[in-house]
Amino acid sequence: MNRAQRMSYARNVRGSLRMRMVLIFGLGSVVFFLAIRIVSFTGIPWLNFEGERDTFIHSAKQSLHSVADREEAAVQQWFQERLGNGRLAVAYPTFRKNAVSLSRIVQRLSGEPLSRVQRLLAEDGRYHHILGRLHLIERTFNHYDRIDMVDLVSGIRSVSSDETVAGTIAPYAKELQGGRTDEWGEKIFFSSEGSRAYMYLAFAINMEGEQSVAALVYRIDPATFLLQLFHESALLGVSGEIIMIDMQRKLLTPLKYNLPDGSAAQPLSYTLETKQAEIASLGIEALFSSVDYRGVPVIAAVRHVRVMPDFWLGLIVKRDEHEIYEPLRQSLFITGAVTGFGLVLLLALVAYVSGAITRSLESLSATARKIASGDLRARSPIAGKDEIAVLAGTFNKMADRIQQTHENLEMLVAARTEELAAANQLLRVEMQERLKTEDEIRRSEERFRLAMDAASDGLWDWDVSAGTVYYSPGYFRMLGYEPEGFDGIVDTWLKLLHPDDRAAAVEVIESCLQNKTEGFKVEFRMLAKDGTWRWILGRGRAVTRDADERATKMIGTHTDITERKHIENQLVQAQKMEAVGRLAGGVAHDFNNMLAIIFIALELIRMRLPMDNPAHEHLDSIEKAATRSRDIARQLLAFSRKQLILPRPCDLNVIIHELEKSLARLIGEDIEIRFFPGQELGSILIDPAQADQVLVNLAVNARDAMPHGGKLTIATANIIIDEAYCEKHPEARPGRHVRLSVSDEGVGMDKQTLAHIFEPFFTTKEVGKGTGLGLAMIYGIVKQNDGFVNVYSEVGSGTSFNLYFPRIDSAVHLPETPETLDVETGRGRILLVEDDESLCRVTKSIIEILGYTVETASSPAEALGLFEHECPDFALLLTDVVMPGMSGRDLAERIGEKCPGIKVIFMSGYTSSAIMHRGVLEKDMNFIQKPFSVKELAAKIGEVMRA
Amino acid sequence: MLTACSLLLSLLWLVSFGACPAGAADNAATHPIYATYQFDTSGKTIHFGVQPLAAPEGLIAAVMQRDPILRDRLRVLGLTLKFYPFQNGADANYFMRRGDIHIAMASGSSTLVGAAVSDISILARAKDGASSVVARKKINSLKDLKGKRVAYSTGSTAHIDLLMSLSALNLNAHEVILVPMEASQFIAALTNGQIDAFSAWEPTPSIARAESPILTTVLKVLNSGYLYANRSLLEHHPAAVDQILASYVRAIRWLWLHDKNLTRGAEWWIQEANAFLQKQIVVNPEVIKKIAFYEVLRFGDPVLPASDFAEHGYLHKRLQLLQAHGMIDPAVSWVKIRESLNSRALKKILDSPNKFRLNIFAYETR
Repeated sequence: MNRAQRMSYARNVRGSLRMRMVLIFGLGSVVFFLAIRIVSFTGIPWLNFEGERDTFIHSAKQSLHSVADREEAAVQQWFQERLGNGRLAVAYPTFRKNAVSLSRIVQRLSGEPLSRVQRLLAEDGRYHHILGRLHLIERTFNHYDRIDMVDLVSGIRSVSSDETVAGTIAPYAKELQGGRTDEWGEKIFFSSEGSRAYMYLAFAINMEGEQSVAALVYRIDPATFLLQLFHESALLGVSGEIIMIDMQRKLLTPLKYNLPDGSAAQPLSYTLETKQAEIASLGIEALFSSVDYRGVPVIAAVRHVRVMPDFWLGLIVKRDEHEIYEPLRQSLFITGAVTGFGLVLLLALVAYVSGAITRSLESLSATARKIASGDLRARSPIAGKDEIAVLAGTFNKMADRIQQTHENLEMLVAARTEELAAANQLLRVEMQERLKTEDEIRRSEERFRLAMDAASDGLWDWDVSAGTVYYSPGYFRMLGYEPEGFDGIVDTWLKLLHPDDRAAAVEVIESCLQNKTEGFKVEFRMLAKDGTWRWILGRGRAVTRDADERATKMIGTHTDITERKHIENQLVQAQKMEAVGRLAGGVAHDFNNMLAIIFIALELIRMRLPMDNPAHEHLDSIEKAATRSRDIARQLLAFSRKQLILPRPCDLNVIIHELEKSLARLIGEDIEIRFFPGQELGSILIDPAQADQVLVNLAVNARDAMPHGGKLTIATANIIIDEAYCEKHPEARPGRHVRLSVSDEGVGMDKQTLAHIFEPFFTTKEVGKGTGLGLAMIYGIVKQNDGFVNVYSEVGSGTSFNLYFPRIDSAVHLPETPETLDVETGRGRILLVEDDESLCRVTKSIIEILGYTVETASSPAEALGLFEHECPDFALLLTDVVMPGMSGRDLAERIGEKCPGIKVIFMSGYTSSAIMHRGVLEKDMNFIQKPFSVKELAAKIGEVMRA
Repeated sequence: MLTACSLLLSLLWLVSFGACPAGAADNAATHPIYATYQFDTSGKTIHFGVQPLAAPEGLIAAVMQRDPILRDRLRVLGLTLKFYPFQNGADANYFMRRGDIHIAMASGSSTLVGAAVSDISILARAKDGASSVVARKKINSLKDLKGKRVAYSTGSTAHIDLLMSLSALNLNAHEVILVPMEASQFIAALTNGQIDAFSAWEPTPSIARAESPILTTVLKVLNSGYLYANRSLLEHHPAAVDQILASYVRAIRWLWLHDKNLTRGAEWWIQEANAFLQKQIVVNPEVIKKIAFYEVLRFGDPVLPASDFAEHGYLHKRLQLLQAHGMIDPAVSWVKIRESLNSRALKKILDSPNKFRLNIFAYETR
């Protein structure tokens, strides 16, 4: 038999019926007997059935209790007997009387030589009476090795059963002192004589009504007498021990064993420091486990033996735990040994019997295993006629049937296998096609999902009948919501609409739902996650409708047009400002024409009136009003960028420095000006007067915004504007700029106010305190100089104006116009062209006063008529710029063609593109701003005529 | 098995104590029996607090109540003595603190509580007994009580003794299932299996052991008792205190003198217990006699044992234990307790036996 066969055989044997019988009957019997033994040993606690162990332990503990009780009773009895002996002796009156007499004698003889004292006592009959009693007691009870009669005053023994010590001071005398007998009538104490310790029983002796003067003292040797009490009990075994201690735990009896250090404990000197002694000293009587003075585990019964009210003893009865439990261990060992031996025998017996029974069954089993392994021809031998033989015969018949069925089954299986293979092939093909289709669907869905995810617009799919909406990822990104926190209910979408836009949006959608429109396109605002309103362009259409033509499913998009809306608003604002500018310019032009008449007329009247004429005061008033009107007209011109300017490269830092003191005076002491000049600040092209106007107006505004004082901060800086910035600020131009920032800590402005601040005549100031033209003028100046302006303001925090001017690289210096103080007169013929009749008349008058000859024309056509045939001798053409039919410039060019030498001065209420670009005069062009004074006109005419 | 007498005793105690847990002095003020007490406030009556249900204190008090010598001597002094029964020393202390009781007998623990909260003088020894833990057989030691149900009377000396013993033997009180219960229910509860053991003072343990052989004592703890008086009584009526002490000594000597005296004393104790409970109880007088002899009579005159009052002696250790359990203010010093000791008063009586007629007996039967 090879190894594999041996292992297989072993497995078969382990699972065989024989082995199971051995295990069941053999081990079962062992377990059964062991269980009985364990139960008999430990008992069944919950049934209150006590086992051998409990009985034994209980018995052992009861033995200790019994011994302790017996010894306690013995000690009590012994002491009561001893106390009775003493009480009996002192109860006799004669004995007491003689004892008291002898005490008085020894008190008297105190200090005498001992021999004399002993001789005198021996001569006294009372001494012999007491001595006889003492000897009688000694002999009768045989427990005392000496009895003394002691005088309590001197401590001298008047009588002693040991006559040699009579007349001497008792070595234990101090134990009898302490208030003489005041505190005691009977006393038990321990003391030493020489090297030996004794126990003493003392009985006070006194006469009726008198104090005690003597004491009868019994001396007892513990080694001799107390040991008689403690008989070696069989209940205590070999290790058992009885120990007696006094009230201070002093040992009274010798110990059975030496101490751990090998020494022997001395009674009356050794203090027992064990748990048993501690318990006894506490007055507790109990049985408990602990370790004894050797450190050995013991079970001890402790007794507190009160012999007298003032004297007790501790009694310790103990036995080693090892010895107590030894019988139990032996019992367990024997049980184990018997069980083991019985197990072997039982197993052998069961194996023999089961072998005889199972041999035939094993043969049948082997045949069955062969058939099971495929050998269908195997058959079991049939031996005998018992039940197993019948079983074997039946088994063989069954094997025949199995063999036959098996052969038929194989053929059937082959046919079915072929059919299954064909069906399987067909199924495999179908599955491959199906997998391919599913893969294509999956890819398509993936592409759709990616497209939806990538789209910046929000896509939605509204199931109208269910009231649910699907939103694409782009939708959530657009508004900042998380898909998890956004339910797909259409009402949620409606709630996010701006209340002002909701009705309009619902209306167009409802129209589409009802098939009034095919689709819809509507703009509305929606609340984004960050709390801002986003402008949305919503587009959608119905994809399915029900029988009533009502949409059941709609799809569409949401596009965020917030930025576009913002830019549109800015554009509208810019256009509005441009329109207002044009209007202001026109107004200013007409205004200036009229003012020009007024100013010139005023000067003409003044010239003709005597200096002392009272009408001069009225003329002054008219001039003031006219001057004020001219200022307004100039501001309007500035706003409409029609102001005549002389730009030149300027350093804003220099201008601000020069103006700083003036500004300080202007805004008052309550406001602190802080200036932060930019480093290496670039130059800008601006008329310095305009720069002054800007700074003054911003400072005045800041002052008015800070009625209670504050800080006005002016800062300059170089800055580059990029394309991205320009996309959001249509007025901005990319490139290098110089920024002028003017900030205050004033009341600030709300958004509504901010939207109008640059409009002319818009003011938040009280009536009469502002014209509403300051910021409009600043706006015009900035725009006139190709700049732009941003304003940031917070209500309660302040306002900051940021003015951006294009930075230039090179400085171009323009000649300054010299100012003449006196009215300049001259000679020559001048053609005055002015469509305003009044203005034409007064202008003609003033020129004539200046010494010139004047020809007038009320229109360009009329003027050209004068040059139709010849070139008249006009030295100068003084013409308005804006006139019906033809501009002043065209007129000048036409006349110049015919009379090239003629000089030209343009006059206008505002700068016209006809003669200048963005307010800047073209080269070699002369211009005078309406309204002008006589002096200004005289200076200009003189300047041109001299040129 | 319990006999009918012990069952009857238990029943009577149950009836009498059902509304008032023993040892709970807080209930003393509302106790139905005490509510009937009327204390003479004229100053001509001395009120003696006794425990008719405790042995042997109740037995000695019963004898003193029948002492015509005492009554005559006090009459000469213009005083009378009236006895007030209490169910325990704690209740007597409650009334002594109120000034209603002038002199009392109680266990060592109650004496310590009295000395801690009142100005008293401890005059004489009352007993040298023990409290016991009585258990079913097979319980041999305190360790065997682990997981067992042990009944106790809350606040009683026996309760304190049990806790002290468990602690001394390094056993955790939580390992024992402590069951608070009226002392009168102990024996019945132990017998019917409701509890496995109880901790009680005499005579309950002795009665239980005598009546039921299935019970055994697994623990005994020294439990002394004392006679003590309000200090103002000694100051105002020292002669009366002398006569009471003399009567006390006389009673002990009379009981010691003859067994028939002891038997008569035991019968008087039963009478007093019946009167207190207002029910008839049946108990073997021999049990009471044995307790009285062992705990009092065998020691003779009731002199105060000096060892009890020694530093680290029995009472000192007991004081520390009571303070540790919060039953006495920790601020109370041992010196105050020691100062309560007054052995001179008894010594004076014992030194003049003829003057105080210590050996002349004229007890009457009421």
